[in-house]
Amino acid sequence: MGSSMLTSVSERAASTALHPALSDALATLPAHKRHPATDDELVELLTDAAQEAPGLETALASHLGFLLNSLDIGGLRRWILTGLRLYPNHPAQLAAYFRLEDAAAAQAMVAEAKGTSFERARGALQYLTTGFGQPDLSLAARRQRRLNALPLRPVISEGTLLLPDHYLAWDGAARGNIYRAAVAHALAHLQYSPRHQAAGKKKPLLITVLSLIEDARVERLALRHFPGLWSLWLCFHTANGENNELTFASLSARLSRALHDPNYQDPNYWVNKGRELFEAEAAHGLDDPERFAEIGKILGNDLGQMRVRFVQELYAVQPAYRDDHSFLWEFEQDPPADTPPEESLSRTSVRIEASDQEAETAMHVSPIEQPPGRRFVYPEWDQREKILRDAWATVHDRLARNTTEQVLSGRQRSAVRGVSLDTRARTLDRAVRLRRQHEGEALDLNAAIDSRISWRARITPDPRIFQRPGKRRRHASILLLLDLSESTNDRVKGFTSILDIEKQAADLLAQSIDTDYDTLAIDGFHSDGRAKVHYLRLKDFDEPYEQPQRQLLMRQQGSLSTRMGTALRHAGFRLQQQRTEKRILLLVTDGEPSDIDVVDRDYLVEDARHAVHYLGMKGVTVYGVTLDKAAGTYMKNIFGSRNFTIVDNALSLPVQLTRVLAKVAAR
Amino acid sequence: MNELIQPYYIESEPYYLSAGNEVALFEAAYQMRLPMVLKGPTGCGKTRFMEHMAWRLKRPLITVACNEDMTASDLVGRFLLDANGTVWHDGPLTIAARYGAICYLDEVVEARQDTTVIIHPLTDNRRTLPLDKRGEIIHAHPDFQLVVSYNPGYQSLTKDLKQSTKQRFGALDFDYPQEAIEADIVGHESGVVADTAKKLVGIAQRSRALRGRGLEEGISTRMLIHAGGLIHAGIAARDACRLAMVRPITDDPDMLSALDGFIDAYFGI
Repeated sequence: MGSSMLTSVSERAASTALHPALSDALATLPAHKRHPATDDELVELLTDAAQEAPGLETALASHLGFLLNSLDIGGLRRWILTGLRLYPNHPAQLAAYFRLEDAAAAQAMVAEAKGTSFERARGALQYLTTGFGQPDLSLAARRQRRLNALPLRPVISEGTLLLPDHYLAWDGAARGNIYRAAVAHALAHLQYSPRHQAAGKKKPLLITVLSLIEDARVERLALRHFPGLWSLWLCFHTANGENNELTFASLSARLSRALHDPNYQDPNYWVNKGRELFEAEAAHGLDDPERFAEIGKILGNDLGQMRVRFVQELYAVQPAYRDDHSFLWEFEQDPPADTPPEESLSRTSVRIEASDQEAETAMHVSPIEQPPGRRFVYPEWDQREKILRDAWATVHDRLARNTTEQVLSGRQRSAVRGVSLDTRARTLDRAVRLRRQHEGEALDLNAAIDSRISWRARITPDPRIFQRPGKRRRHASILLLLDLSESTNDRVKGFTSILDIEKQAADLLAQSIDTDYDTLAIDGFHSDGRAKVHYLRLKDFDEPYEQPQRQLLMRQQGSLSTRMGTALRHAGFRLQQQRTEKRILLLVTDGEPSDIDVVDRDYLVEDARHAVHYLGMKGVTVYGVTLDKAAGTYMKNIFGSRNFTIVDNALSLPVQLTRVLAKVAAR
Repeated sequence: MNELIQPYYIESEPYYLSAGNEVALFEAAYQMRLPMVLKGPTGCGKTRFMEHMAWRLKRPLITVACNEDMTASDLVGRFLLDANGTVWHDGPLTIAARYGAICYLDEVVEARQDTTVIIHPLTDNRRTLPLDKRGEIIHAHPDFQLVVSYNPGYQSLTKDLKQSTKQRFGALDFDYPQEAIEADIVGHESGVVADTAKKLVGIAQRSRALRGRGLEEGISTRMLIHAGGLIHAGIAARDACRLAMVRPITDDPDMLSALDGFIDAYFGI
């Protein structure tokens, strides 16, 4: 497998006309550095680099192996980009950079090796936004399309914040906190800025200056509540006026710094004028954006008279953590043509990309013939009429596999012994008696008598004369119910669909169960109206979790709708037949209950709530885990405030699910 | 008799800043000797409130920290062996009932339910405590009152109190105080200046927004007082906050990073 993989990459490299030096370098990389999944990315990166720096391929190839030792592909991309930025018009120096003969190259390599990417910071950033009062703001990555395009800046909208997938050390990433600074700045805008003001006929230069002033204003406002942000933002203001450059980029960066840092001194008249006007206005109050806009107009006018040129396409907001200001303005014309469609922001609460065509065609593969299942009839609760309609919904329960497939019987140990779920909750069992204890509820008669005898015989008596009941582990049956509806085909972050994540979570869970004490069943459901609620049994309680079960789990596809209440009732019915002390029903879903024959949004939510309550009274604990960030209200409604979890970062579902189960089992 | 109960009297006033009218409500409940439940998150002032009320009402306070291993004998009393044979020793509940103290069971849901039903006869009209092993029935002193506390959000290992237990009590809800009051408390207890106290409270409030979304409990007032104490003793604010407020409550690296971010937002980097 190894060698054929290597040759196919070299073939691919040759076919895209990669420079021979680069493809040779690729081919000589040691096998363990190569991963099939990232090879394409690497080839693409090198092709792009070759395009940006023609003639320098040999130089780039010279130390490729060494670079890839310390940097992953993202780091390599940033390193190349830093070189391109440092020496935009100096091919000789750029070549020296690529050959690692330039000190800056070594520094950049060290910096990028420790670099932050958005993915690594995402979890912490999500917690930050929640703590700062914006729990529904989703965070997503903004990907750099072309290698040497203008540096990306965050994009703010009401429901989503797009952050660059990486910042260069050049921009300040080496300072470590750049993502935090970006988020704090974005939150300040969301809190204090007027949105989508009509840009009208204002020139780009004026718009940029007005945005700069607005940036400073909202940051000042934020500092009233969070004074520590001042030093956080300070470390990204790197402009200085030593050479008193009169370009727009330099002047605007210096003005921003002057507005932020009272200790900064600048020789330029315009910068100092801007500071004076701003501080004078700020002394009266920061709340009126209009008054500050006036300052912006004056300063913009001055720049026009100073004949400072402004080229929008070459301008990137400084400092690097600030956003691109698209939030503040409404332009009449369409956005520029090279804005990739994925970056138009969606308002849904789960940040997704539309499901692939691929998933749909996969559905049309000729189905395995399903053995006929059994039918069960359940009542349904109508909240409006307040009646429980008998025999309203029909469940088609079937095994999810062909009966001709082999099923291993009996309880065998699964190959992977995972961590025992529940190590703390032990229940008292008076059948277990611990005798001869130092402390206990009752006297251990034998020990007490022995003690008296010793005392009479003038021997020191043994003080362990008590007895108390011991504890044993409770046995639990767990049923994991997966939502297999159409919406689970939606993709999260590129390639994984919600359904795939659900499957991984189920897989991990199945491997972590301690089969000595607990049994697990995995089922799935989707519905096509009240008469056809499909219920699939993927792994039964007494089956071990081995390859056949795993493959069956992984084969499932998403389709149809989510009639939650009925599925819960049937799952509860299956659980009730297990004679164990604890019976836990874990539901994993990605959205509200819904079905094609129900219009009222609350109907199925209330029905699910009724089902959970009913099962609770029958001794089945029901717990819900959802990937829908806006699910707070209806999940609480259905499951109760203690019995649900919202998973903000879909990729962490597998880990979160095992934690949830440990928590529920320990109750 | 007095020697036994004397150590439980509270000599000097415990500092307590009220958030509402809980002091008056509790006093009224005590007049009726109504058993009380104090509910609230950890570290928000329930035990301190209890000490304050005991001082105010001039009653001795016997506190019992409940845990799962606690047996009925731990509360009521047991026979112990000494040189002369077996001797009965009263447990804290019995002492309180005999001599008219207030008995405070802290974190009562941690105890097993067969332990907590001991308190049933004390908490209704009968106000008696049967000591089966001695064959004695104690009629509670007229000044005796039972108070329990627990944390309703805490996903504890054992179940909730039974309804038959709950309905014998009156209850007071405690929560972290409002910003200004909490800052006052932190300032008073730890000695830091008002501005620093406000920042500490701000950090705690950010963390409380994460309850249920990654944190089981937000940062409690008690932790703020710890942090304040360290700052007052000269430790840098960031280090003090990390030590006393952030590092103890979570091990998740993302959560640690976010909480550090809140500290930085108030105190700077």
